[in-house]
Amino acid sequence: MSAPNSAPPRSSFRVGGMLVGYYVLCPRKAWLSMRGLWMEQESTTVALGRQIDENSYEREQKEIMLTAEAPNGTPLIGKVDWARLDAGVLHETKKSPSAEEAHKWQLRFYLWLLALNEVTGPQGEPFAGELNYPKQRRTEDVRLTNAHTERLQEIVQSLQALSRQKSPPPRREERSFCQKCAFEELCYG
Amino acid sequence: MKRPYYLFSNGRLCRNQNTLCLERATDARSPGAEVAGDRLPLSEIPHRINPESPTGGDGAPQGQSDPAEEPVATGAGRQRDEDAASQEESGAVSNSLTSDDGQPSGELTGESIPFPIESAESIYCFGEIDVNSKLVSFLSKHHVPLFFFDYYGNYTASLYPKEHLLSGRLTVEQVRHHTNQERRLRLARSFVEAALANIRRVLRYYASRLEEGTEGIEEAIRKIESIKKRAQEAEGPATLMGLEGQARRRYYRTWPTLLGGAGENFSFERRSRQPPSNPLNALISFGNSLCYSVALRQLYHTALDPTVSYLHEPGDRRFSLALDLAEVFKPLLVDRAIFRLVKTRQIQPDDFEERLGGVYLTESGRKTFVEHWDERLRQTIEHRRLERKISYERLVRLDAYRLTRHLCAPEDDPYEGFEMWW
Ligand code: SF4
Repeated sequence: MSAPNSAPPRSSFRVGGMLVGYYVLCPRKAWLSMRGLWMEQESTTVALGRQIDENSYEREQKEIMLTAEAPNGTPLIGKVDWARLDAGVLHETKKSPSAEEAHKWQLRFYLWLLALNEVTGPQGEPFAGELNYPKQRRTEDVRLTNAHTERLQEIVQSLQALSRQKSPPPRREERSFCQKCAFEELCYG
Repeated sequence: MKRPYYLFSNGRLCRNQNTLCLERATDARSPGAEVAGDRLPLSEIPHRINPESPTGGDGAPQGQSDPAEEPVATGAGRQRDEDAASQEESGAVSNSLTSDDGQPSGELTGESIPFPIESAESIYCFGEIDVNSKLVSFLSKHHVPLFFFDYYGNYTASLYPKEHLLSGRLTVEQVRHHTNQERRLRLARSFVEAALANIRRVLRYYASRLEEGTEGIEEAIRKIESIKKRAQEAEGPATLMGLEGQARRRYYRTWPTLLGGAGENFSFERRSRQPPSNPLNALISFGNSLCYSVALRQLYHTALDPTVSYLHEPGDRRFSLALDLAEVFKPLLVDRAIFRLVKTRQIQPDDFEERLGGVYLTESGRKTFVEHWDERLRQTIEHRRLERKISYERLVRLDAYRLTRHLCAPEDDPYEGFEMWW
């Protein structure tokens, strides 16, 4: 899952799942990440996340690349962790549920990409999502409703505006929230 | 946890599948004698023995300019000196064995020491080390920079891996802030102001421990404060550099007093770097180049382009932004390290040797310095904004982040260089 690493000219502006998750948590985080100012490569938690990704599940289908176009023309891109196509389920595996809200939106975003591509499950039903937290032995069902789809469209719209913004949005107010963020040193150091 | 590796041996550094391997050259003159002292992560501190310094080789030292001010940073490794053979011979120093408690698992007494690349944050070569292209691409792939020092401890070159985090838009902002006079001045001034504030802090810290001579120190502090005021009105980076130099000269004049009894053997007439004319100058030059390398290493982990600078003129063959940043941290990292080493008499007159009209740290002196330096970088301090402990080295990174914020939002989030708050 990768966010674009710099905000390119609008023509090559693309929105990915992680960026959507970031935006939901903190627009500043999304902006910094679009500018290529993120440092997650270094962070051990991310490395750990990747490991869990790679080892926790026998994958049935791994890393499915999805692309689509939002109704407003923005190119969308998604790299899905793994899926059970025969059951119509997309999976996303995460290290800890501390940013569960972002994880949910990331997965909803992928479900949306499938919907935009008119991909359905075996019985023609929309795909379902499942968030997996193997360390906590927890799974969370995620669905895509009409309200979610609308919200996703708004998010894409906002991200587009954000990518043209010269300066970053303000920091989030709650320090406790930022203390869990990989960008904390960039914002408060 | 990644760490710098400090290699003092002569030999070859190579890639052996997925590990790094230091193949030490054996000392031809005294077979069996170990050329230890390589400071690998987690290893015990090498003990200093052999105060007897090797006598000078007769090759001319290369690149004697103060590396922190004029580093020759090239993409290629150091050229082998023509007279390497004679240097190697005269430089053979036997040393105590180093005990080692963990990685690398290789015996330090062996001739071939493998160590995992994943544990290396950077590698310092103080000895005569050969590298080949296979190693260079291996290091580059793992983002490990290599720093070379010559036989005298002069910093000569760095092998800086391909940029991996650069951000196009940030680079554009960096350049915009450089080309716009006013913006550039704003940043250049911040570097100088922070540097002077830190100098003042160091003076205060040591002055409070003095029994006599405090008047001279107070006067120096006043002088530096007045220079700091003038820096606020300086009209260009060149003026700022001049003021900074002036403040440093005044500051250095206080050192013999600040060093007290232990400083008796360390006179200091003036700062000289080409070559260093006395032990204190040798320490400053060596420390400054280590400081430069730390700034460069830290910049490497950010999206900043290390060649675009504000206080120093960008040069073609150096990473001048690292020089800007280093200026801010020299008082904390270098100057205080020197004070500590001299005052505790860990560094003594016999740690220096005269060579070709200059004074240099002996190999064992360099080891002592590096050992303290490495500990110092890992020392931590409670950070007020982050509300957790941050290592001295990490403070340099945080400053790079502040600079990044400034470049993104100069009005809302202006850069103020790091100032010691303790
Ligand atoms: S540290 Fe806080 S303000 Fe900064 S990106 Fe993270 S959440 Fe946003």
